[in-house]
Amino acid sequence: MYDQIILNGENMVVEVVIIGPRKTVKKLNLDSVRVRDLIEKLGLLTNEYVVLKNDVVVTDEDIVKDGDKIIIYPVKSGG
Amino acid sequence: MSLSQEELERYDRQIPVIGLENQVKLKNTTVLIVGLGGLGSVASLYLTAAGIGRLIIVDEGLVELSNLQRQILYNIDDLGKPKAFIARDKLTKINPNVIIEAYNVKFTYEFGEKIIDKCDIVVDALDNWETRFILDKLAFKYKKPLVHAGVEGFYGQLTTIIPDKTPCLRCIFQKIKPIKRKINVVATTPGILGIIEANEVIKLATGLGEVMTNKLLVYNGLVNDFTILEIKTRPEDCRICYED
Repeated sequence: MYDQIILNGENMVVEVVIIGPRKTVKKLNLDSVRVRDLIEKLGLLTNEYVVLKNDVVVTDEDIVKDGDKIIIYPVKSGG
Repeated sequence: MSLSQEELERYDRQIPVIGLENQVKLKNTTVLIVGLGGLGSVASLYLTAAGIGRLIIVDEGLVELSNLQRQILYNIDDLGKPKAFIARDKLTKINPNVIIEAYNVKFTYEFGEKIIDKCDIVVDALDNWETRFILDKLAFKYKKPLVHAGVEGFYGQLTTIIPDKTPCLRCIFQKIKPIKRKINVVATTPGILGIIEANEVIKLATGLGEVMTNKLLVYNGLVNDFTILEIKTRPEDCRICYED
């Protein structure tokens, strides 16, 4: 149920959980990035996701730092 | 308002669970449901069956053939007819004790202002974010609890918003752009989320149990998984709560 992605940069390790139907693990090399950069690097559309950093809803401009836990949830819109 | 003999018999399997006092609380509760598609069909049906006192239902749509795969209030005889009025007639036959107020109109901020203060709880059964954010703004302004759900495919999410106690909908879904597109969904997904919306309303009305506040329930029907995400927001990020 989760896609788990470990981001290993020279200066940081960030655990990213994308909630979706598939389970995959990727490793990306990153330094400190904005949420927007992270989502784009993962090939996702920035305006279709809720992003939680350490359980807090964050904006695109928020900075992801070493040790952060990121959850990316693709929002469903239908009724 | 008390219960009639007919109602006592009708709710005979529910009153032992929730108590007579809470059954009366349900009868004294008015719920606004905006949207009568997959979520709204199911939420309105179960709230009617459970004995909510008054339902205000709003949808501007007409029944289409492609609705019948999941919108269980309607059948082939209803094609081309207003969903709001068909829903009112069907729900009244299920439980004539429930007062149904039906509006076959587009839900706008101006229309919402005329009716929202009559309700105790709001249910978001919409299929687009533009109207969801209008409903959220009204619910916040008039201090009404709002139960939100959204569905697509085998997946869905749900949260319950309490003004001044939880983030508003826009706080949580601030990045979402209200773009209209065709959303495909498996028949059962809005059924499951619509029932949970109705269950949240029952708990809000009676005070029983715990509601999904400061949490996002995430449903994955392909693997039968319900995940609950704890959510917090920073007040400075909200676009609604701190407006004048």
